[in-house]
Formats: sequence, structure tokens, C-alpha cells
Amino acid sequence: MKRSYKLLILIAIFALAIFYNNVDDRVEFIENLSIPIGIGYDIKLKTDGDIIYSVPTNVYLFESNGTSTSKVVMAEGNTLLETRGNRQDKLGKKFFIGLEKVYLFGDELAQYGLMDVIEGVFNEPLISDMGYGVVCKGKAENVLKYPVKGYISSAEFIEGLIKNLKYGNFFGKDFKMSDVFLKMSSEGRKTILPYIEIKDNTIAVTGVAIFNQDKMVLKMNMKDTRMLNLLTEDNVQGTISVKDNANDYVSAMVLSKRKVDCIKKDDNYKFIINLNLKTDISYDRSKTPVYENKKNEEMFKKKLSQQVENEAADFIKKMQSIYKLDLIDLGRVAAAKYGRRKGVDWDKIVSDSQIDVKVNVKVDRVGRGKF
Amino acid sequence: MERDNELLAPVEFMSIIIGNMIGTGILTLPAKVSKYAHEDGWIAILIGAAYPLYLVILGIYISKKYPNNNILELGRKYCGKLMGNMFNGLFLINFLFNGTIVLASISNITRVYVSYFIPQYKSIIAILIVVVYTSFKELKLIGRLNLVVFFVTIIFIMIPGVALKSGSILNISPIFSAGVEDIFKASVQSVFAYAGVESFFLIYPFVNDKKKIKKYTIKSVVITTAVYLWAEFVSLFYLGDELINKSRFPLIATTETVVVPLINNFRYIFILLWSNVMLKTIVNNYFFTTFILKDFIKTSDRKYICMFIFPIWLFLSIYYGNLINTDKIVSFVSPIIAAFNILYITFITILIGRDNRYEKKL
Repeated sequence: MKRSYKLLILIAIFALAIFYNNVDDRVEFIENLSIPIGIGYDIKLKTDGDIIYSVPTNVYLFESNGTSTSKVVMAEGNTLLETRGNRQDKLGKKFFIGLEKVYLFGDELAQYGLMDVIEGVFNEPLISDMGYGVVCKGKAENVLKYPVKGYISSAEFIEGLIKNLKYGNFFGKDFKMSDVFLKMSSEGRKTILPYIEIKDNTIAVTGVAIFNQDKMVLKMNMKDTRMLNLLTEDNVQGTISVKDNANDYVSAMVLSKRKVDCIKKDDNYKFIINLNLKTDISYDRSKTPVYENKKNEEMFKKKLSQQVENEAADFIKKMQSIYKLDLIDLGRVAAAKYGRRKGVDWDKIVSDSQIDVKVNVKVDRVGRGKF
Repeated sequence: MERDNELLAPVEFMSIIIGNMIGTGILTLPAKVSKYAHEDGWIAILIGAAYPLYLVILGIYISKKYPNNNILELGRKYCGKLMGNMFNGLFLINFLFNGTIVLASISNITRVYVSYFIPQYKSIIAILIVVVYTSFKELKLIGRLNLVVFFVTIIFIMIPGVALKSGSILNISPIFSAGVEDIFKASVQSVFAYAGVESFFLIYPFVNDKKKIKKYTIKSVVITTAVYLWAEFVSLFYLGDELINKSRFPLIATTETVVVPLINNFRYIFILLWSNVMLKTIVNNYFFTTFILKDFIKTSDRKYICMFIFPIWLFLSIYYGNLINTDKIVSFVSPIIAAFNILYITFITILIGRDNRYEKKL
């Protein structure tokens, strides 16, 4: 009895092995895969209104002596999925999705609309949505093909670039595709992605691209971007200088916290943005050194808050009169307080509302001393 | 009642009831309630908890009057042999339906996220073999299994909590914005997530400490509701209503915020871990199906029944097909089953109550 039992198990194992062995050839050895680092998206507009997607893909090439390089493979198609087949014709290895680090959108595509790309990345469970979304000037193909010294590929460099943006200029850290889903879908928010260019023999971030729904409507330069970030993001860092002249200035590392209040009276909204700036003073070449006495500290605080408030007021004025968009996520706060899905046009409301910025400065850390 | 097996400890009893409820429903629940109630989905989940609570309160009353007879025997006692058996057969559909739906869902979910290369019927067969083997065992072992998985579930469900660091409180407000009608619609949607509480009526005679039944049953409903509320809260906090409505499995999306070095996306790990929880739900339902069938057929060995219903389960879970079909069937059938349960249990309770009064008069 026991023996037959064992035999039965053996037969069962054998049968199952046959049943599951021809599972599929969709699984491959790692050496036979081409793994993409960055995927670029460009479009060509045809005269009859149709479009052709052009998708350059930066893939790793693992060589037998241990070194690895990368190449850019071009693909074209009427839809994004069709480009996959077109790409496979030129690859020689199985295309393996899931480890993408960068999604690079050419600005022509960004202006046309990202919806196709977003739909694909959101729906297809295998594609990684942990990659960063970036908009580039010109064609994505040119940026991906641009050699960067010290890196296997430019896509790897761009990943590092975006990842470390948060250490300056008050950039947030939400540029992953999963963050793009969040921002694009929620009411009263704008998607903001870093904008890169090939400049002075390197690739650099030169501002941000701002999307209304899925279409890029605005490119902002770095100076405005700083203010935009400061007014939009919470818990970000950067530097601010209070400068009277070349020999009289204070520079400080700033950690910014943002809180927005929204008040509705009748049909008028009023927004109050509270910025709490925690400063570490790094350069103090002021005639009235900050740490010398309480009076000087108060003076510095007042100067700094005045400066930021003025800059913010300028920015908001520009936003309300020229761009006429709610760039700083105020609609989100109002929607959370006064109800969503009512068909309110937050761009219009924010453009017409009173927006106050209140800056509160706190001097936090002392240096070793003043030289 | 046969008493040759060891009896259940109250905590095992509790974890069987919880284990029967928490399975695949939790993964889709936020999307289902958000469809109608939006930011107030949590209210809908709370209202939905009235269903298990109602059944359980009646159940506690029944278990006090007849501590040694489960619903199958009571059905025959009060409705006659023929009618009783018919009602028991309908009661069986509870477990057959829930189990096969969970089986179809788990195969669909794993095929979406992990094992896309296996055809659905092959993954269903693989799962069923494990399930059949486990349900050969006795109730005590099922209880132990549920107890272990219960603690594991509590640990796993904490994982999405990492999403709290990247969400926003703005996503969950404004509260009380949805209308009463919408909230009611949403709470009907949440009933499937609570299906499985019916197992209480089969197993209460097997608890070794009858005095603790009340406490632990209430606990089981409260814990399940709390877990569901947590899932809804985390999903809403991180994703916001709009993205929840766009996702099919919102809870899985929240696990993507967990960053572990060398792993490109944590959701694969979460699916792998959570499939244990789903498997246990199937095992429970499979076990209870055979348990009721054994009561009909009166064969001495339940193992034969386990083997016999294998093809039925296989057929049903393949028949449901893809996720769209499954969702459609669930939203159609599960309210009917819930309504039957409520009516049947209320009916039995009334009969018992009447009987009781009559006895007192004598």
C-alpha cells in the first residue's frame, strides 16, 4: 500500500512536470535580454492629422569580457505598441520591460499630449512606473544619443540628474511616473516635470515643463522655477541670499515648509500661503552680522521674509495675469475643503482670487564662527 | 455531533471567520466603494459591516440556545428533513460561490501582476491541488492554519502603511460630501468583501469554550472591518479618489511606495505574500463545501468528497473567465446570496425564539 502511494506521487510529479514544462518561451535567460535604461518618445505629425510615434530606446549591451555599453535603438509605429514589433526587428535579443529608469518626452510630443504614453505605463503591469518622467528640448532621440563622459549612457546620467534635483532650488522629489499618475488625475493639480537641454557640452536641467491635463502648456526658466517650487512644494531645500552689494550679503541654506489656507466668502476665494523657512546661515558677510545680537537677527529675518514675499508676489502676479493657470496647486486645497467634482474651473478661480504669501523665517543653525 | 476530533480554541474560531472574509475582496474594495461614495468610502464600509454584524448577533443567540447543533441540523429540525436539506443546499452555495470566485480572482490577479506566462486554467489547477490537499485535513488543522495566516495578514496589511509618507491628508477630505443614496449604493458593493461570515453557523459547535463565542465573534467582525477601513484609508490617502477609480487593485498600487534595494518594484513581493492570504480563503471555502456535503451524503470519509468536487470547482472557476465577467457575476449574485442568508438566518432565529417562548410557558 505504501509503495503504491509513493509511485502515485512520482507519477503525479512527472505528469505535472510535463503539464507545466511547455509553459512558454516568454521567459528568457538574462544574457539574452536587452534591458532598456531610458525610453524616449517623439512624434512625427503627418499632414492629414495622423501621427507616427518614434520611440528611441537606450538599451544595455552586456559584453562577454564583463564590460557593458549601451546603444540607442530606433523604432516607429502608428501606435506605441506597434513600435515594439518594429524595435524587435532590429534588436537581436528579447526586449525586456520592467527596469526603465527614465522616460524622456520630446517637447513636440509633450505639446501634443502624453495620454498614450501614460495609458500604456499605467495599464501594462510589467512596465516600471518607478522611472522618472522628463521633458527635453528638441527630439528625445538626440538627447539619448548624446554621449556623457563617465556614464554608460545618457539615460543613466539623466536619472542621476533628476534624482538629485531635490538638493537645490527647492525642487520636490515627485517626478516618477507613479507621481505623474497622481498629479495628472487629481483635481486642482498640475503635472510638473523637469525640462532638460543639451547645453555647453552637457545635459542640464534648465527649468520645468508644466502640463495642463496631459498637454505641455508652458516651459518655465530656472528663476521662475525656484519660486514655483517654493510656492508649490512642501519640505524642500535650496539657497536664498539677501544681498545689498558684493561685500554685504548673507547666504543661507533654507528648508521650506508650506501650508495653504483657503477661505471662501460668498463666491470669492482667498488663499493664504504660509511659508516657514528654516535657515542655516552659511555665508555671513553682512555689516550687521546675524549672530552678533538679537537685533541683527530680527533685521535679517525681516529682510529675508520681505524679499521672498516680494518675489512671490511678482510671481503670482505673472501667473494670474499672463499664464492664467493655477500652477501652485491651490485648487487642490480649495477642492479638498469645499467639495470636488463640481465642475469648477480652478485655473479661472485662482487667477481671479486674492493670494497672500506670508513668510516666517527661523534662524536655525550656527556655523563655527564668523571669520 | 461527532466529537472525535480536537475542538477549536476560541481564537482559532475567530481567525477562521476572519480568514473567510479577508481574501481578494480587500484588494478591490476601495475601488468599489469609491465608485459611488468617493471620499466617503469608509462610511460605506462601516455601513456594510452591518451585514456580518447582523448575522453574527443572530448567530450568537442561536448558539446560546443550541450550543451543540449547527445550522445544518437546526435547518432540518425546524423545516423538516426535505425543506431543511434544500435550505442547506442553498447555504452551501455561499461557500461554493465565494471559493470559486476567489479562485478565479487569484488566478486573474497573479496573471496580471506576476505569472502572465501561465494560462488561467493551469494556474487554477496548480492552486486547486494545494487546496484539495489542505482540505483533506481536519477542522482543527484548518483552525491552526487560519490562526497563523491571521497574524501574517495583520503584518502584511501594515506594509501599505509606507504609502502614508508620500500621500496627503488633502486626498481624504472633504468628508461627508457624498449623498446618502450614493453611500448606500457603495455599501451594497462592499457586501462581497464581508461574505464568508456565514462560516460561523457551521463551526460554533466545535468551540471548546462556549462562553467565549460571543466575545470572539464580535471581535472577528470588528477586526475585519478595521482592516478594511485601513485598506480604504491608505489607498485614499495615497492615491486620491480619482486614481482609485482608475485602478483595478488600488491596494496593490500603494505597495509600490515601498523601496527595497535590488528589488525594482515591491508590488511583486506583496502579491507573492498576499497570495498566501488568498489561498487560505479558498482552503476554508473548499473545506466548508465538503463539510456540508458530508452532512448530506453521510459518507465516513470526507476525502472522497474532496476529490469528487475538484472538477466542479475547476469548471466553475474557469467558467467565470476574465476579470470583467467575474466582477459582473459578483455584483449580480452576491447581493442575492446575502439576501438569502439574512432571510434564512432570521427565519431560523424567529422559529427558535418562538419555540423558546413556548417552552417557557410550559
